[in-house]
Amino acid sequence: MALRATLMSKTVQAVVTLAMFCLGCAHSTRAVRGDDEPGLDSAAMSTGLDRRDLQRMLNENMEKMRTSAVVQRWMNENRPAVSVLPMKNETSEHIDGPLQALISDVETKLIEWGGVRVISLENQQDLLNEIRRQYSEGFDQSNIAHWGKQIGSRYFVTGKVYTTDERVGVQRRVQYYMFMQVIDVETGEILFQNKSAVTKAIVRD
Amino acid sequence: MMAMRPRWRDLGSGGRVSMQLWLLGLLLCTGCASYSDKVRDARAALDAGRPRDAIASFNKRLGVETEKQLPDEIKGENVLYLLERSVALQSVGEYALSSRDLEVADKQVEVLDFTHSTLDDISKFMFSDDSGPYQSPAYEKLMINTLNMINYLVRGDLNGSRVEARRLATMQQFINDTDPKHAGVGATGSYLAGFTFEKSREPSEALRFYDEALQHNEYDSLLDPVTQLAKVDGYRTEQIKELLSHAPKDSPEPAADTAELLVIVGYGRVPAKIAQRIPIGLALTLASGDLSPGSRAQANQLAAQGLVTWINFPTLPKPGPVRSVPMIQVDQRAIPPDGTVPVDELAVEAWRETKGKMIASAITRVITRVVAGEVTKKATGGGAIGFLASLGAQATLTATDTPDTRSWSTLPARLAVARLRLPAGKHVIDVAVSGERKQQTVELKPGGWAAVNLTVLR
Repeated sequence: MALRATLMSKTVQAVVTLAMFCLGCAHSTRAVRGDDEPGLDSAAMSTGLDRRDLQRMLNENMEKMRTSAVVQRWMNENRPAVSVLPMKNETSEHIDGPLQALISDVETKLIEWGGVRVISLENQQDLLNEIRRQYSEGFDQSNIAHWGKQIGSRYFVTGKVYTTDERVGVQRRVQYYMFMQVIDVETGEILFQNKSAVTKAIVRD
Repeated sequence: MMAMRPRWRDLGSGGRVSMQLWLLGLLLCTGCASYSDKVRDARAALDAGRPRDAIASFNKRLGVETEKQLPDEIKGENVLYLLERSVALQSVGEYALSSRDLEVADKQVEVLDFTHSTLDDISKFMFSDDSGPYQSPAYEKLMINTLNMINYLVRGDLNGSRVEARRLATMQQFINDTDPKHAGVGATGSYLAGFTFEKSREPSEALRFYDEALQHNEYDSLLDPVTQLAKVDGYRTEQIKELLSHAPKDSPEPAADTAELLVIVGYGRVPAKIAQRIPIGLALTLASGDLSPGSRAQANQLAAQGLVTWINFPTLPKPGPVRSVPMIQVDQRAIPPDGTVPVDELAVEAWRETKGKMIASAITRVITRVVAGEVTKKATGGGAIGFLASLGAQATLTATDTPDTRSWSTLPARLAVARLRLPAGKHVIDVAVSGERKQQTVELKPGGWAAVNLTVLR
């Protein structure tokens, strides 16, 4: 009987072991909607920039711009024409797509404020491609006036995103800095500049 | 003696059920093929010069129908399959898809690096070498960004290439701080990063990357670019000063109606990891510095009793000779390749340094198996049933112990560059290596540049 009991106990142990093997393999996937899954949009999934990071940096910069002298100047100029140029990606992450999407966000804010006429570059694909090529192969400041004339804009709103990327031991930290500028097309003078920052990291708990 | 020759009918029903479960467990575990088994078909296809078949094989492993798709779950071995597929995609000229695979895998390789836990280390020592997440060695990490820079440069995308160059710099900094001996494999990456920043008109960054490349390799083709960059930026190191000492006095600016061509050739394949079986005596000698005195004594005792005779561990075999030399012709004029980086030799060199540790962990697992068998034998009262239960325990642990043959096995064995200044206009580039040939016509704009790649994975 003792032997039988020992064997039964070993049998149970073996079953439990096998069950654990199987449980380790079991998983299921499903599609979810951000509205139905609390926290889905707020969780950081990598060191890249997500919508929340971009919106935070953009809102901070735009808020500073709204209360700056340049907006006061626009109010006195009878709705000058303003265009938003693409933002330059100087980071260690492939975020050109999200930065491209920010152009529309900036245009929307400017329209909401009133006081300016926003001229979108979306319908001038050749020029947009030329600007992107210039960004890619080294920016020549003298082109600003040329582009301004071509588009018919008095001011450009643009920006760049930089990173400080470090990896030490079991942690990686990426600090992002978004600079936004307002440039006078005729003189090339920077009339407004502000920086906002976000840090993303992978850390061991 | 009779007790050592148990028979099935000697067991009671409980014993039979227990044995059946052990055997079931054994069957389940023997079903787990090693990584090298899983990629065997793809590697055979590459050997036969059929990269499209290799891509199809990786697609199957990833559970996708075409290379345009990513798997539902990007974790575990899927990360490695993506890396494998990315190089095969590069070899067939699918540069955008190759970039996507490398970028997705790059993020996961990073996360896997940081999620490695003590429990994984224990599992590695107790159960199986390939339990726990895959951790890329330094040379693989550097190659991710290097290969992706090729993907971006051939598409003329300096923005994307700069992102990869910055990622490479972060990784190089980390490797320089933690594992400086193995930073040499990044020489091609540094060269490409320097080229990227030079063409982006960022001379300071370009000189820093060229300096990094010159620290690990000789590049004759850098004489002119570094000479020109040094005219506009004051960054100097011993390597740059040495190179500049060979520059002609008053070297003229490149003519405005010329352009630059960069050819990048990847050929051969790094050796794939295989399981190796060696006698315990040799294993103890090779791992002498990596085993604790207690484990060494225990292993010696078990070896003397004849309980442990062989050790299984993964190894990276010595690379075979790379007989092929790239033939690069521009408008039928032969251009010699410059600064070839032997990725295969550097990979094996890096592996050799961890060999002792790998054998030590294999010995520890064997000791665990024998001890587990002995404990089971005692717990079941010895005799025929005890012997069988002991055998079952040992067999199960043996079956679960698969040597970790995971590695990025489609990496090119060699990476070479060639660079020259040409008059603007159309040029015919002809590159041949390892029996494959690529002919491409490029249109160079005055002051412009173009990059051409040929990757042959055999």
